[in-house]
Amino acid sequence: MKNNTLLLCKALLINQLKFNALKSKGYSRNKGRFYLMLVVIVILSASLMGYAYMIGDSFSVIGLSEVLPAYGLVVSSFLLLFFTVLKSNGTLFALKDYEMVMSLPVKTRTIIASRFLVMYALNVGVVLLVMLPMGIAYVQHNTVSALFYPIWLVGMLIAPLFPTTIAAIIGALIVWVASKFRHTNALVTIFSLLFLMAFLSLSFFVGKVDQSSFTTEDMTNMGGMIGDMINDLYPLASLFTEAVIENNIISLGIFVGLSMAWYLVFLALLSKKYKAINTALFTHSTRSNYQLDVLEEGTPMKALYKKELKRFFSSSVYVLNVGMGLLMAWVLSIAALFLPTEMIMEMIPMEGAERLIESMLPFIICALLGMSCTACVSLSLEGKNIWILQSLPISPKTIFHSKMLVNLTLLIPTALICSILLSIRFASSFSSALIIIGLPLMYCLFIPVWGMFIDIKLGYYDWVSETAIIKQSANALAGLIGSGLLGLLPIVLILFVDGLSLLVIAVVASLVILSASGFLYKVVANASL
Amino acid sequence: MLQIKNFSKTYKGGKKAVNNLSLTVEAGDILGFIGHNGAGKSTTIKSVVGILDFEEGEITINNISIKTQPLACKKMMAYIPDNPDLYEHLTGIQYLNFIADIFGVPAKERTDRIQKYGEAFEITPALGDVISSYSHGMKQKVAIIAALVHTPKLLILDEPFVGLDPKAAITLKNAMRELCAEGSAVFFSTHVLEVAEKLCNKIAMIKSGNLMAYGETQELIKDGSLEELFMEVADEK
Repeated sequence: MKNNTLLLCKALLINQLKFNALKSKGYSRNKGRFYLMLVVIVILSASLMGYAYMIGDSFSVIGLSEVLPAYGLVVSSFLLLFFTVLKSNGTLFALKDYEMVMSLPVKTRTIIASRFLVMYALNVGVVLLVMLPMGIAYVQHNTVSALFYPIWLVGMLIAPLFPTTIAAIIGALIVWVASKFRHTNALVTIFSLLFLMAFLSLSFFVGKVDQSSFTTEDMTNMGGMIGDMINDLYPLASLFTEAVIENNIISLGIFVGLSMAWYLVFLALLSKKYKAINTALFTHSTRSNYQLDVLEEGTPMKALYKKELKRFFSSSVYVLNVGMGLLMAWVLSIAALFLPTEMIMEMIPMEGAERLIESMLPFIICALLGMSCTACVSLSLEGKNIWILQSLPISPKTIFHSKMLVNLTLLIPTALICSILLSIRFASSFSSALIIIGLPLMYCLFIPVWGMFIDIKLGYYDWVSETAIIKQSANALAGLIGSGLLGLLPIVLILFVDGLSLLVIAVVASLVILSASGFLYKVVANASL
Repeated sequence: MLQIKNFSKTYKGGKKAVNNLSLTVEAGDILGFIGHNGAGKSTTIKSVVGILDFEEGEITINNISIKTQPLACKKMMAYIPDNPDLYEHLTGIQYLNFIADIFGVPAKERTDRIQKYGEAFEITPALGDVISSYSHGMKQKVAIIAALVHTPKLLILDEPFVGLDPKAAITLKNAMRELCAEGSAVFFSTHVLEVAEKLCNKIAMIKSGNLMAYGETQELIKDGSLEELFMEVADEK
């Protein structure tokens, strides 16, 4: 008999990653979407790998090679912790096939293990993107024995276990506590937001200690100290460092053993509460005491808009993932208003940051707003409900308008208030204030039409988990990359082209944003559902 | 009311789901659309309501083509699918109000109709709860009320009796008869032959995409039963 965990894992992966799309003969929409997703993943992975290699290389050049194993482990663990907490509700819990899977003759811990392994498998990929290039940089600058390679490989495979379980436990705790109350979804959103804010503050605090305590010159002589600091923060890192630096197989064994033991404890603990948590998530408190009163009339547009807004706020995964950019824009603007200039400049570790900050600000806000594109997934999120819109007497254009309007509703207040706050602090003239406020507002027009365009072209309705659409779909990634790029590109120009005036960049950017928005709107307005 | 002329639908890969289908549903008609699983019933229904596109044939509602003027056609129709996937995050009443807003039903009329059908289907007390808390049958009831809230000229239902309790099934049959008495028409697919025999004045039987029998119920079954006719059609090669 085949291993049930692997069987469930295989079914989940085939379903989530849409491998069957490749089996159809000739070109199909699903196949196209799959390949596009692959291209986007390759671009993102290459960027992350390049960045990780540059860090590894820089560390080695300034003589901090010994810190690299621990640093790679900690960075990838932090990344995993941050992103997996948002994913556990939807991957581990509240999956649409929960009832079907629970009715199968398999143990609860097998079901948890299969879902956990899917998260783990995807997380191994993330670790590889960070640790593989760092390992290459390490080998290039150090003489390593043959043992280094298997040790590093084992490290990369074991690294995701601890952060993934911790993230799953935090996710489970959030869901479990929230499930005790009537408005479970709202509470999951609030608790998760609190966690993320605490996490961001903690990362800032840790980064702050790092930045202010050591200058580049000091760091050359302080490799050991930084290593100690990381190892204190994350004891598993010290075991891995010992294994790599000293070829210590025993340390590696303890590192693997502790990670595996921790995973098994997690599995045993969660399997006791898994059914209770899911039951609470799927069971809704009902009042059944509704009394009909005279109902209010509204226009079709208002009805669609209200429905769309409710859809957004009813899903914690949707709010947390799409709202992340908005949250970061708020944090940045409020921090900029109250923190002293030196502290803000420490957060932007680049030459001449003070001189360039005024030019870069509107685009930083644009890039953050670009992370909050609801339109690129809102059509796909209709899922099995799409028949409702398809059979109602409303034009596709009205439907698209309602979805773009919801995106604008989320973007405009943030763009307006954040850019006003930033212009109060950084604008040197009235015209520069106008640019800092005007550009993000103009950019708000681009984000929804770009998102809608992407969702019309790449959207699909046959999904099992909304997390897969919001976080892992081709349209979500394309939406993010497209709107992010238009914000980031001017920042790159400002950094690498000397003497560009803010006014010139603003005029060119406005023309590009407005013409791209106009062109895309024309396509969207004539599209069918 | 509904005219389907030489309608054919071929899916990607060349599978012909429906082949040269022609039938008419007049005002006052209740037409039962019968066939085995995969015969082409849902494909036909989805094409009629404008969900599926098609290349061959013509479908008109009150002489208006669903292909060229879909919005005008949809304004006259209501559709209830075989699986009532409704907006789970809305409450029952929010969903009904949403549909009433889309069809522009005046406040007084929508309130009266929701009250009438809500009581008939015994679901009014649950209308304040979110749809995700409903059973399959309750969702089906809300989908039916949503279809009736704008008194459609043509009501199209795909397997409407699946999941309904006996009382709700009787209420639905009465609502269908009432609607037809007011000059509307009903076109529905079903596997429940007894219901079709008693409820429908017209029957259409489809097998592997081809129309095998079509006409007045009494003329088709003569002295026999719908079950016998169905078996005859099923055994035909």
